[in-house]
Amino acid sequence: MYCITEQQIEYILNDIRRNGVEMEDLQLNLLDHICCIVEQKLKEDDDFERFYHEVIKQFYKKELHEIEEETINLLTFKNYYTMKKLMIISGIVSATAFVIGSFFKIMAWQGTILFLMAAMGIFSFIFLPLLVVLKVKETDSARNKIVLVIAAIVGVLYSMATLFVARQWQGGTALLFATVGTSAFLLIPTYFFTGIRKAETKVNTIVTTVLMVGATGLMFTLIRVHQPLPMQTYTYLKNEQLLRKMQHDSGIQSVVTNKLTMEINSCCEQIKHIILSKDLDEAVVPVDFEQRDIIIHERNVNFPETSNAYQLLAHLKNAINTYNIQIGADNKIPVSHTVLDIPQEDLRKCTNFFVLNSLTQIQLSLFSNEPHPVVMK
Amino acid sequence: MIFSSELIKGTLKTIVLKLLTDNDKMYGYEITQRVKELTTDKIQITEGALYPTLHALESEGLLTTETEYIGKRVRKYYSLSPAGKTRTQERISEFTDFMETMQFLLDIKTKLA
Repeated sequence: MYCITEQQIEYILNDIRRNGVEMEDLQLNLLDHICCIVEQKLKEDDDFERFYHEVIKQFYKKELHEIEEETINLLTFKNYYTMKKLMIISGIVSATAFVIGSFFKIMAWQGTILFLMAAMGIFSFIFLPLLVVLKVKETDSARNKIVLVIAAIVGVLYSMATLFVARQWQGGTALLFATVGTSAFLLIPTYFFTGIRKAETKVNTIVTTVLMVGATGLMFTLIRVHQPLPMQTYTYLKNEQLLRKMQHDSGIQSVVTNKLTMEINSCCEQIKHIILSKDLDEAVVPVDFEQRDIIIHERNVNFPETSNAYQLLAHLKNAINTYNIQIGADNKIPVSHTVLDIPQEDLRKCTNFFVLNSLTQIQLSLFSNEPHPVVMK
Repeated sequence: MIFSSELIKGTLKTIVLKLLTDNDKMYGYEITQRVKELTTDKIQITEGALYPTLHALESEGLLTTETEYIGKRVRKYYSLSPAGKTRTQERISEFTDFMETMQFLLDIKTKLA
């Protein structure tokens, strides 16, 4: 029996690795197998390397890593039916969540975003990857496999971009750009040049490419290439600064002597806190907002069920009504086209800036009346 | 006469399972040699078919493995798991049925002993 050396073992293992066998388990199995053959069949005076290369040739038809591919194929095939079942179930669940989420959105019910997020998550991270794995397995051509993988990546990117933009999360625009870029510069050219070569797929490829270019173009049209300056934030924060300055100059303690003005002021502040605590980490706008580049994103006001915003608004409405009855005609706090004019059920259709500005304007009106003695009827 | 790999492909799992029923534990090279020996070289299992099959059987939970270090290399021994033992019986009886059907279908006269 031939006695194999450690260097020879190392040589065989390196050769197996160099030939594309990456699964460690398989590497060790093949190594032991070859060592056995060498030990059994190689004669002491034979050339080891020449013998090894003759032996290893019997392991494959074209290349050694065929064994690994076959192993992976068998392992995937075992799960093929489970994967197919899971793909169909995840597809149905995500489609159902999309439909329910859309219905909730139309009805402006709570929980819309939960359904839509679940739908997008399942679609992007379960359905699409499974679809691609199964389709790749069924496709013979390497080029078609690449097209399928890129298409799935574009699908996931688009879905995530939509979610990020809808939720106004950081990076939404970057994701949209990535989607359009991958589609325009990778997916469409790869798809086109793969399909156009074959006579039987030529027409279909041209039509589908035109559709894909159209869809990518439409998506690009929706992207704001140049982001507008956050003017709404500046306008609101400047108003807020003006109010603080007026409060400071008049000496807030001396100004809010009247119980009614105190109540109105306090209600406005509390409602603003509820809104701002959702947009900022702090419930009050910091003095150095400009230095800190603070930006408030426009969104619909959705007061949490647990907050007392609705009671505060009702209370504010009553207090201002009383105030307006008591005060002279020229100094009345304007109510029309402000948050006080909006019925409670329509409040969620208002933006945060509209409500915040309304409340600050109420406070400004209040303080502009203050320096003059309150004229009671 | 050596049987074609196409014929062997469908029965390789059954062959491996049956061999492991008769032997407590075996490693890859040993399996190929035993099959060669038992069939007087008529069935020669290729490495390219054996190892993917062994991995698949292991991942299906039909085989258990243990490793042994021989100097710098590792030898992986395969043995039947309890599920593997049941599956072997099922596969053998399925194959017996299959042979009977094929005999009938191809009108093969059974050789008299």
